[in-house]
Amino acid sequence: MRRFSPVLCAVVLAGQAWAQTGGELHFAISDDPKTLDPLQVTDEPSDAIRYLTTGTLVRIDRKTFELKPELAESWRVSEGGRRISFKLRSGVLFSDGSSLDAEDVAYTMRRILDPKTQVPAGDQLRPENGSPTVTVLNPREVSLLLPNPVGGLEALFDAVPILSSRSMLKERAGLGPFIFSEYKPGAFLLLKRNPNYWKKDDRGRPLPYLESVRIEIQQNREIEMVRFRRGELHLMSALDVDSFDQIGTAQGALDAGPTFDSEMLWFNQVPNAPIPAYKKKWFLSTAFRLALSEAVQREDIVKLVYHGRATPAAGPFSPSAKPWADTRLKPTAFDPEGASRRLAAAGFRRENGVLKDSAGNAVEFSLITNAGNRNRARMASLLQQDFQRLGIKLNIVTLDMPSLVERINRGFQYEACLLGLTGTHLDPNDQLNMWLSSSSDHVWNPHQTAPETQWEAEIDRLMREQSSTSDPVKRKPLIDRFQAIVHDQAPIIYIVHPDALVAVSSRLGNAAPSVLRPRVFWNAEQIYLSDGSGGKP
Amino acid sequence: MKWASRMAWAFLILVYLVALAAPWIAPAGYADQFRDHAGERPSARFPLGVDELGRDRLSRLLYGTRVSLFLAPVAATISVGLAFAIGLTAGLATPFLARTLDLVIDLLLSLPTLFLLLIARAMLPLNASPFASVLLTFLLMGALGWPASARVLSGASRALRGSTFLVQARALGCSSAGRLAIQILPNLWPLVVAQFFFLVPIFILAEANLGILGLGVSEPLPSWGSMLGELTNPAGISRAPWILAPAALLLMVALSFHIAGKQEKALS
Amino acid sequence: MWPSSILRFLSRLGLGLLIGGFLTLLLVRFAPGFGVDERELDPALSEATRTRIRNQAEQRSIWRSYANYVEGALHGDFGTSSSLNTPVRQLLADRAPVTANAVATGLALAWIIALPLAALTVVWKACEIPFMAANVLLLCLPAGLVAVYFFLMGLPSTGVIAAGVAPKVFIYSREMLIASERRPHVLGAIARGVHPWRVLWLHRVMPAAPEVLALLGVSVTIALGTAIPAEALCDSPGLGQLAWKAAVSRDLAPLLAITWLMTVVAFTANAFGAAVTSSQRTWRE
Repeated sequence: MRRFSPVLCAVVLAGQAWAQTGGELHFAISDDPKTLDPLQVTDEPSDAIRYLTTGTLVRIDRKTFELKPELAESWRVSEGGRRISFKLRSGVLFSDGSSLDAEDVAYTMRRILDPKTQVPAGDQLRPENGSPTVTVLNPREVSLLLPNPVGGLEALFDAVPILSSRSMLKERAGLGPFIFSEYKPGAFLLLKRNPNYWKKDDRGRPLPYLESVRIEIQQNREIEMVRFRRGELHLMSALDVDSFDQIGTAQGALDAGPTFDSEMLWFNQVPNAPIPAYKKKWFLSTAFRLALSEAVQREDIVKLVYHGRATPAAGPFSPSAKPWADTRLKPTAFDPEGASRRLAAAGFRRENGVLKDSAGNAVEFSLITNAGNRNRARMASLLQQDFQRLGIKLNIVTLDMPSLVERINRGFQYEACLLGLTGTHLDPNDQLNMWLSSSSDHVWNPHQTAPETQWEAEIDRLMREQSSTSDPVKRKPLIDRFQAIVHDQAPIIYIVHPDALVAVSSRLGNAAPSVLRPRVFWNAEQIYLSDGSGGKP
Repeated sequence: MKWASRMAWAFLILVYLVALAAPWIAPAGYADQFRDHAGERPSARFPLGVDELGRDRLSRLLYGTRVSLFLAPVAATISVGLAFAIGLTAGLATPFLARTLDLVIDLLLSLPTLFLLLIARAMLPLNASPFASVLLTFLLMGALGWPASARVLSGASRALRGSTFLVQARALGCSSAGRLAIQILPNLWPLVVAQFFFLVPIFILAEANLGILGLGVSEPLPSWGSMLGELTNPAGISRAPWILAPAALLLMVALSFHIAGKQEKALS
Repeated sequence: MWPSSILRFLSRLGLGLLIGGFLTLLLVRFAPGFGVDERELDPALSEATRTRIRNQAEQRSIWRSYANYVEGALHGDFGTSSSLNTPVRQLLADRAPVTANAVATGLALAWIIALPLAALTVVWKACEIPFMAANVLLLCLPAGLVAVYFFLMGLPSTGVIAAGVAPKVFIYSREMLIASERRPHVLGAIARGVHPWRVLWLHRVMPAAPEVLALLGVSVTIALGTAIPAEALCDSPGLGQLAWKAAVSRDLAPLLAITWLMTVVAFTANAFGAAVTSSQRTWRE
């Protein structure tokens, strides 16, 4: 008996290792979710809840950026990108035990495509003109036909939560790994394990490994960091560089690489903006914009603001957006002499260290940015000194967000703006609304009835053409040409792409931080907690 | 305690003189960026180290002293002056006027006056100088910061009104002006002075907190408040304790104000 | 006498609520950024969605808008928070106990610490400067840092509120006690050789009690005012955090409700202080 004891122990231990992990994952979001309705999600906290409690037909793997089957075991795009057909997995249940079938998918699609209700979840799918058709082919197959082709159509379904058409629980009957359990506004949300979740691990055990997820609502980043270091939180999805350095890589801080986000500066080119006419003339001048881009020391911003954890930006797509970023384009090199020559050629001259335009106006303008963002405030200070080298006086004005949005989107009472763009999707269509000249989001000169410049007309053409082309091989040259125009005309001066900085507790297993949101818990069903909350699966 | 008061006065005079002399004695301009030395520890060249953008901390502290140490007392004077005038009136006036002023004070204590600051900031031209922006912020804080003090002073005035020595003075034929000057003001003065010295550090810190809303000082102009904004967590402080210099200076200046003010009261 | 005083107080309170609410409405409506939503800048949303978000702002005239709010409030309906998509009544019910608890505890802590220390500095001159330095230190530390330190000590918004109120209580009560030093009866007691502690308690603290109680009324208002940044910094789900979020997002409904609540508390606390002071005057007369 004594000789077999070690074997017996090993068997017992292996059995424990096979046991369900359990445990409760703790992390924080910065604000209360604006909505718990998955179709109405427009903010990041709500998106985190939606991600954990709903299921989608396909899922972008946040590490490889490949599109993987989820609720749909396969799909097919046809008719030049106008039709997409899904074949659903069998045996998938909603959290209330009801079965998923093609009617549920059709119901969801009709809801998001309904032009009357205009739910945000369908914004990127809903056509401007024409009526889409949803057809249930059989209980496991459903097809969507759009009036026009849509580029990257299948990937858009990564963000479409499938709802039940019949459940009494309505939106609460989810297909995600967790179900909504409790919400105390301002304090926390609690999600419990979905007992009917369809996924299993490669050993056939039901997922998720975690028993529950407790999401704290924590706006104070310092306290969030203290709680992480104490072990009260298991992950932090958005670290600033100071916190990253304080936590340190040894204690769980991780740099996942350049995000799809961009820090950018643009000038107000709205014709009827309430700013002096001579300043509008500067901002409309391509030479002026390019010169200022050449005056920006991007490397210093990377070093001093981001402590090396950012990448100088060449254009709208970060190096992480591999299929789309034009690697031939390089970030504008720091060249103050070149900038001065360019300005001189455009009629500017220096008098006693002050740059003046051809009419004798000293070049001075204000730069607005949002208050409370330390990185942006530091960046603005560096830009101020960079532009001073050219003899330009930059006045930095920090405003709270509503005041800032009012100025750049309503009254156009600003001269230059420094802001960031959050890249949530891989596809260039994510930025489509920013580049179409008629859009309200065409930040430097929105709502154009007709493109006011040749190059904006060209961008309109290129973006519309690529958005209605399903073949990525055909889209790529269009996107490359678009990037080249942006680089040459500099309507937006791209500064840096910050890295995705996260912190992951050593207790967290299977965490694979990504640059795409949600950065850490994107594979929540695979994540487990070790040491104290249960054994390793 | 005279030695304490003398030291306090000497320190305050020294600080103000140094602040005035900042353009001549500061090692560098407050906006100069020595980017190759960013984040450096204190050294012979940079006695208080260098901030994350390569700016000399000592220079910024000296220039920041000018902003905070001149504007915060101005704001405190406005606030205390308004509180004194209104609080005194509310305490000694006719019942109708007193009740009306009480109503105004209580209302202002309840209103979100933060929005007044936002409205005022929005009305300022975008290209206004950083000094104009911070001056406006301090003036507004002064103009809006009086209700709590007025409430205390009105309560104290009311209490004085019923005191025996005042009744005695009235019985002896002392005029209203005389009672005000001889009996009431000297008794209220300590509270007024205490309020003033109390408000100076409050306003310096408030200017930093208002930065979250886009109010306060604009780059590159430094202020104690904006420098104190770096003090956000203990770990950062323990790694770079020299960033406590503005807080230490503020503490010493505020304490000196209190000690000097106390001695002034003793003399009067 | 009492019924007429109560009636007067209620009519003042009613007037204060009406005017205070209207002024709040004006301030918020005319503040930059009212009716603006950050999501208007999100290129991932369609033009229609962004237009819908933009048009969610209050469109009614100010008078009509206020009349509707007042009418609703009289029926217990304080509207819905646009930023939290929750009825304000429910928000108040959930959060008021958190703030009440924090303010009460913070106030009690502040008074328990500050008042005895103030009395001590009056009697024992040697401790004056150290205590004053400690008091000034609390005034000089940024609230965010204090919040983190208190969090580390396991004392969230309660400690921050106490740290915000205690210096004021210390200074005011100390000044009141010092002022009483020059009173004739105190000078007389000292001249007669009465023990300093007896002089302090019977001839200075007790007579100053009504003024100190009046200070209590003000300190309630100060504590409520301190609760807003304290709860925002400590992420405590109370009324202060709600007020801060509502202010940042220009959310009118909760701001109005909180203004009314603050008005009731301020008026009541200060009426209490005034009543105490006037009763002392009546007794003296």
